[in-house]
Amino acid sequence: MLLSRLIVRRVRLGSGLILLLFVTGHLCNLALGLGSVDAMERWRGALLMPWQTRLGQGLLLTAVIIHAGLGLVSLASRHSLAMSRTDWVQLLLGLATPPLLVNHVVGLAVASHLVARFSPDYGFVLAVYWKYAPLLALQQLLVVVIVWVHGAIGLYSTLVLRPVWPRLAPIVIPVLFAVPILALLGFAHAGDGVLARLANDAGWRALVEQNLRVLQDLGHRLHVIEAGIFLVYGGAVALAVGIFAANILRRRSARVVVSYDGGLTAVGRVGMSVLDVSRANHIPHASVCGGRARCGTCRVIVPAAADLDPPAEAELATLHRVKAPADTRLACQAHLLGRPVSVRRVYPVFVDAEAARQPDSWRAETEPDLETVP
Amino acid sequence: MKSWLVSLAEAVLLLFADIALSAADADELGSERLTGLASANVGANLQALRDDFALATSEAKRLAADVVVALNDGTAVRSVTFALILVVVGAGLEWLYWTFAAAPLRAVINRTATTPRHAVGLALRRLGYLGFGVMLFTASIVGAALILPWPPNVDALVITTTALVVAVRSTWIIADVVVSPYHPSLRLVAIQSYRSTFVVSGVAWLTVLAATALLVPQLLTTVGSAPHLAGAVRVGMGGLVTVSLLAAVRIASWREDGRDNGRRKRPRFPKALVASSVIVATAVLALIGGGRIAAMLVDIAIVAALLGASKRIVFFFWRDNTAGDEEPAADALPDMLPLIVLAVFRFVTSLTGIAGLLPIMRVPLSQLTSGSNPVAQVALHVADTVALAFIVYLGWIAIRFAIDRRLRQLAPLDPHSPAAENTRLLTLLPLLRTTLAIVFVTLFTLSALWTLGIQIAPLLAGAGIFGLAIGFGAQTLVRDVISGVFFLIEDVFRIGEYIESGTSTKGTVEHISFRTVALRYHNGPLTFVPYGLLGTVRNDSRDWVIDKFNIPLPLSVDSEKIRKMIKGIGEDLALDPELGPLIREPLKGKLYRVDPGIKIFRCKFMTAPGCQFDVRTAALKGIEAALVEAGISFAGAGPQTILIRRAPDP
Repeated sequence: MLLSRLIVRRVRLGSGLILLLFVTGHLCNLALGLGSVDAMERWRGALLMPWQTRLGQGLLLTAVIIHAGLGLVSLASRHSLAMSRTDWVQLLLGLATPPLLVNHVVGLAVASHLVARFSPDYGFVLAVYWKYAPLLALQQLLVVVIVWVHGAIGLYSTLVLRPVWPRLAPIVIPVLFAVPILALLGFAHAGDGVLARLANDAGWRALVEQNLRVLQDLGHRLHVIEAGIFLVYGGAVALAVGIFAANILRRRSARVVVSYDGGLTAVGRVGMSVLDVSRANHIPHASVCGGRARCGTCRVIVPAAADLDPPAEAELATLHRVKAPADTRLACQAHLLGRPVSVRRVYPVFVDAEAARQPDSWRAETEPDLETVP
Repeated sequence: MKSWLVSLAEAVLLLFADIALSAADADELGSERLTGLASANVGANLQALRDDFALATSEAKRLAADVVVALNDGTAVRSVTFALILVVVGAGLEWLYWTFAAAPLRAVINRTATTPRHAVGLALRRLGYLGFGVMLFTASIVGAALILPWPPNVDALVITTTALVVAVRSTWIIADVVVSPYHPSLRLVAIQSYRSTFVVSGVAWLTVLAATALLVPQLLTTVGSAPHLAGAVRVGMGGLVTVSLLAAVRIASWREDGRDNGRRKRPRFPKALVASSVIVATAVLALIGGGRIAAMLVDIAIVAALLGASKRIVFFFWRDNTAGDEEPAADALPDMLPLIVLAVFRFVTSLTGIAGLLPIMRVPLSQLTSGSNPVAQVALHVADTVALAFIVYLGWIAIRFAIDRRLRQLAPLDPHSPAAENTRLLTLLPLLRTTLAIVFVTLFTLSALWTLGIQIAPLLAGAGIFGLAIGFGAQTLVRDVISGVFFLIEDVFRIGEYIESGTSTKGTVEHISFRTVALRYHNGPLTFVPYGLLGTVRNDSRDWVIDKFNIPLPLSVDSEKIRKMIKGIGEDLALDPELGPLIREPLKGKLYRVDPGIKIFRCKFMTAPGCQFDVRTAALKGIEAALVEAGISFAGAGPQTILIRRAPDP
């Protein structure tokens, strides 16, 4: 592993937060459509201008590439598709975002770079979406929800593990709901205004159509750019999926037996983590963070000589944070090497994020026996 | 009473009623006219079907054009915007709910149910968690949809889509809770683990199809005003449902065959074949316009299947009490609760089936209450009968259980073992059970006939006259039965007692029926004596028995010494561990008579009935041994020849 997982995780989180910040600003701007199109335009400077500076654009582009790249790397390094439902949602939404978003970005940001007299203000964009290219509008609406849900889930699963979450939740959760709803409502309200103006204000309509012609003249170049992006992205996704599939195919016959407390046994492949094996075999196994070495709830007691890969930095940090004894490992990070392994789960399957926030509160009553449920 | 017979009969009745009604509309009751009507009806329906498919494409094109218009004037964009708001609100609130409820739900799912009843409780809890999620989803979507200003006609689309999603999710949840893939102990049906996921996904898929077939055509007709396209969609979806159902039946039976290979013992009811025929028949009927008959067929088939499987379904929840068997063993006394539940299950199933037929027959509610609709009347009568059967069955179960439980508490019935306590109950209870069964069946039959509107008064009167005629012919029978009743009431004999009747038949009472008593003579033959011929009964098995026997001894013996000796033997016997408890009064003997050359001692003792032979044997053995010890021999009964040998002279 080139980089420590801990650093990778922080970089991924940071890039995600940058993108979420941008999206929030963008959606807030859209929400101002509940006032008027002019209000949107007035606030655009404050909300979006920082991102249109050279620095902002560079930051944004880097964040996009890093976030998508790390997502694909994590897909490629998977050893099983046994993921939690949340992870599936995140993966699919994440994969769907770039292709859906590409024409919005290329059509507006890139086009305004290429041609100086092209001025994509909110009035124009809304006019295009509501009047001239409604299918693109549907696509962008979809992407608003997709991006927001992806971001909200990511933010929630990071924050929920922190001790500060119970105090933060009453502020964050309403915001998570309010932003997309207000943005969509603003989009609808502004659309009404734009349609009315298109019908009444012939001069403005001419301006819009002129802008549109500029865009159509650029059509070919934009298409080439879009095609290039699609090609690169498609290639990256195919590569990631290919590596993943090759990994699974290569090790499909390298079976490893994992035996659990309570007499359960399951069969996994070399390279899978113990948590992957539990998930693939429907063995109840607590895992609040979903296998990211963050919560410590999936940890298992293993014999000292167990045939597992040695713990990495991220795992050691988490184990230290939850004050785990020496013979424990995180099931999501303990990958099978080949010989059978015997593990004992520490937490009952029904623990929630509270166990990650306050590891001490769960220990006493849950460690003796997992099978008895109060 | 087999309830499914009731439902079958009821179905046939309703079918006839339907035909009769349509015939009455036609004002003519000829069968030719009827078939003519039917075939004309079928022809018209098939023509309509052809029209549907012919015109569907043009309607679809028109709808597509409408959609393009909606896209261009902003309607579509606005609708999708609002729809996405609904998604954010509905899915978001449910997600928020699950961030709290997921952990408790996992706790319930990962418990191991100790009994199937426990599993029911856990299933209800799971259903509560999951169902509340869906309810929250639905309520928030509906609430948000009510606030938003929808473009015209889109609200219907939204309602339909929401209904579709909610229907599919609800069935999915229910199937998941009932089948519980990966958690066999929580399962509420007897399904193997490898089939569980298949069942859940199959149910979900069928719900998608069925809900589409029901909801989309309606939407197309009302909002899209495309009735032909709606018809085509309905037929297409119906076809898909049919094919999926047939595939499901095929897959289910195929897997069953594979598993049972080589172990199949007896030919079974061809469930797969019948199910497939019902599915195909329903589809064909629905296609040619017999929608009501098709619906009735489905209703009846479901009720019949449920009733057929009712025992398995109900006893599944008492699996643990019968050690893994599907049904309790014949000799084991089943619990009372499962039987009552079974009765309730059958009752509810039958009534639901009947109630389901009423909307199918389109009986208005007002006519239902006033009873002016003949179909409704028939249905009500049948429902009454089913209710009656239910009550009678419950009563019968209660009484049977009371009797069986009492019988089990008593000793098992063996006529040849020594008389035990409670023989009178053992004699009477089975008789009572049979009598009550006959009474219940008779009462139920008469009440059912009366409920169904058949006059039973003439029947009873007829039975009375008929009975009189038979009565003259069967005087002996009547006499037997009546004297039997009195014998039993007066407790003249019980099972296991040794009796001698006036006709000099004797033996142990082995079996008591309505007309005869079976007596086992001690060397084997079993005599069946009608009560009427029993006459004077001498019961040898009551309270106590006195036995007397004589011992002849020579004149030379000392009477007093012998009396003491016999008394001593009697005291010894009374202390005997085996015989002692049976003896009521110990053996005593005394000089009874003095005959020429012989002294006769009479011995006497009192024992429990039936034990006198053993005691007498033991007594004789003891006396003989004592006499030998004392050097006394028995005196012969006849003349004794005494040889006197003269002593030789010295």
